[in-house]
Amino acid sequence: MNPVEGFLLWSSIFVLLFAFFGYLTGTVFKKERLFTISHRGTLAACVLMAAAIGVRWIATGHIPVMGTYENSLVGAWTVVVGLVVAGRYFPRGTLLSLVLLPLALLIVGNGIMTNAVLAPLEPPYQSPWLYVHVLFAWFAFGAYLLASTVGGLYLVRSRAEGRDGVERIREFLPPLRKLDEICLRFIIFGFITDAVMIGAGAIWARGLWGRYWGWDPIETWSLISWLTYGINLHLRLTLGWKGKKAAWVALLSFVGILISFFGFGLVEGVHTQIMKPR
Amino acid sequence: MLDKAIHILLSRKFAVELLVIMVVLLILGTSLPDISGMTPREAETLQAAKPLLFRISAALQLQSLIASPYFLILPLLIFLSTAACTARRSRSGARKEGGFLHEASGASDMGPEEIGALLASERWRVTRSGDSITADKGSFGFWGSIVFHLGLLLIFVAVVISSLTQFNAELLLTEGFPVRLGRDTFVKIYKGNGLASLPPATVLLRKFTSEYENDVYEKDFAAHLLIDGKEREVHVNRPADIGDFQIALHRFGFAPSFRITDSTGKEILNATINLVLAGGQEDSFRIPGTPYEVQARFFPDFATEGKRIGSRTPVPNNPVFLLRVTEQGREMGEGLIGLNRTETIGGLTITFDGLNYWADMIVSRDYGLWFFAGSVFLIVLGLAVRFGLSDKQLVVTAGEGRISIRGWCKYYPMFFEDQVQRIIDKAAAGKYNSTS
Repeated sequence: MNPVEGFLLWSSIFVLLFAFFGYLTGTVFKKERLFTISHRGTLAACVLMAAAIGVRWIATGHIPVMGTYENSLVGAWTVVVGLVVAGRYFPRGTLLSLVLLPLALLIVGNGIMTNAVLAPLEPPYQSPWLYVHVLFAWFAFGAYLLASTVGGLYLVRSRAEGRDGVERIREFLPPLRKLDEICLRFIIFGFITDAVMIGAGAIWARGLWGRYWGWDPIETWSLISWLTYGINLHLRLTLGWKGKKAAWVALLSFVGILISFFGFGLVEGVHTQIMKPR
Repeated sequence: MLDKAIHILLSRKFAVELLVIMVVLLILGTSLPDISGMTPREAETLQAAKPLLFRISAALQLQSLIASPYFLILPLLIFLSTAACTARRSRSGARKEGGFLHEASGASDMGPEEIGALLASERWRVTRSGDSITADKGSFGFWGSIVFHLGLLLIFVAVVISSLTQFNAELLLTEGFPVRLGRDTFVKIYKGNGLASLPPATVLLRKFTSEYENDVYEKDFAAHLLIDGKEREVHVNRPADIGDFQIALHRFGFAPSFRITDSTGKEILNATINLVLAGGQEDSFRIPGTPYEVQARFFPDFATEGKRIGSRTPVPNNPVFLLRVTEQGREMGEGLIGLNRTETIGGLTITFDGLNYWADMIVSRDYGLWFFAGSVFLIVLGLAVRFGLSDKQLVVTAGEGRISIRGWCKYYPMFFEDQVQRIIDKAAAGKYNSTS
């Protein structure tokens, strides 16, 4: 890891931790001022992480998409960006932050524990399609993560409806109808960017493996995820599913994305067989 | 009967059910034990221990599943259902059905003409009839849906074209040994359509180059080919063309040349052998017409540390083989041999004459790709138009100090309500007048 990158990354981690505890303390002890400070902290961490990614990009000469460390770095940043974007719809962003900040910290923590060595882009990744494929993968995964989180928060808020003693949950979350709509918007965004990701991957695969689709486990799980979110949209838009049912489907659909993401490198297939002497 | 079938095909619920079945089968296909990837012993063990799981896995594992006619019925039905629904929707045209209704009103001194101008300034398409104004936005959204579904249908066309025209085969080239393309020259033919149209070119791997940064990190691999005498460089991700076909670099390895004589002085082998030796892996070769087998482990950049031997880098700076000679399974001896050296190992005199590379190339052709790329383009365009230009309509009445809006939107009701409220607020403030 480049020293400047290390400094920026560790700074962002400390700021994220600070923001998380700010939100937690603010929620539990009703300290309104902490929400503003924590929100600013989240923005600062987002910028610091972006700078760390930029420094690494310059140092390695390629977009950071190789190996667990680089994927975790960009993944955690995507979660924080998503939090900043989605936070616009949430009063003070508290509950969303309490879910997504620890997740971002876990992802980046997992990455730091692996090999962060600066290495050139391996030959199979040296394709212009890499940028489209990876960038849109992050857009899609980020949007799906937010959709499932919002789905989960919908369920939390719907449980709190009409019950005493949980007014603060209602206070920290938008109305149910709005949550439902935000969830739908993220699914739509994810579905479109996912399609671009799969298309770019297919064209890339043609030059690399001589075929655009080979039913490799990762490819198949990408298709499964895309179809699952297609089902989500059909259920919502043509069969009229909304409310709790739709929220549960949005929440559970994310399992496919988790398998696609964490399965990379674990499942045997061409995606894991990079070009090496045999 | 036919009416019923068409009715089912037109049902959106049926389309969702088909998608759910497909997703469940694909999940099973990727999650069950992969019997094709097991050794015969592993497969036998599983079959004995869990016969039911073995049978289900054998039937549903992904590669068997996607080739099964029972499974192929699913995409066929999805295609028919999508085609039927798209045709019906195209014929019926854009209709303001489903979606959400919203009504709001407020005080405003604006007349119908000013309200019309206000809406037009916010890019609504305005039509007036007396005191009533109709304003539309995003009516192209309907066509987005049609384009999206046409994109989906094109995927099926791409798959059919691929399955009818796809050629995909492995070609093994060793440095310095020309190969004439033809049915028998391929190591494995995965898809054999159009083999007859493959140009009978002669391909020679003239040189293979590997580039590492700091002798550690892979940077570039290239097969320098002569195709019918013409120089072509094939890098990973950068294939070359042979007519309509593409030749891509898939894998590579080392091909040492050995000369071996037995204890009587008779030369029993003089050959260049393609070995699979990645990451210290051991490979072996038999010496034809003899009971001998040679197991080889390769150290491209040989180094010793105390009694330990290994390779400093993956670059063949100091190539050394550790060879073990066996005779009918019995070990005769083992020893190290460097490039251009001769050693006696297990009673055989072995000369390590040279070190070349082999390259495993994928020769392929697939006309379906362009249909697939086109389908992805249509899908993305259709979705962006459908959801980006969400269909909305306002029926506005204005006069006598009030404005009333009856609105309809296809999607995003909460955001639509905000939009309607903003119009009412502007009308109340007479904002259009003040800014125009």
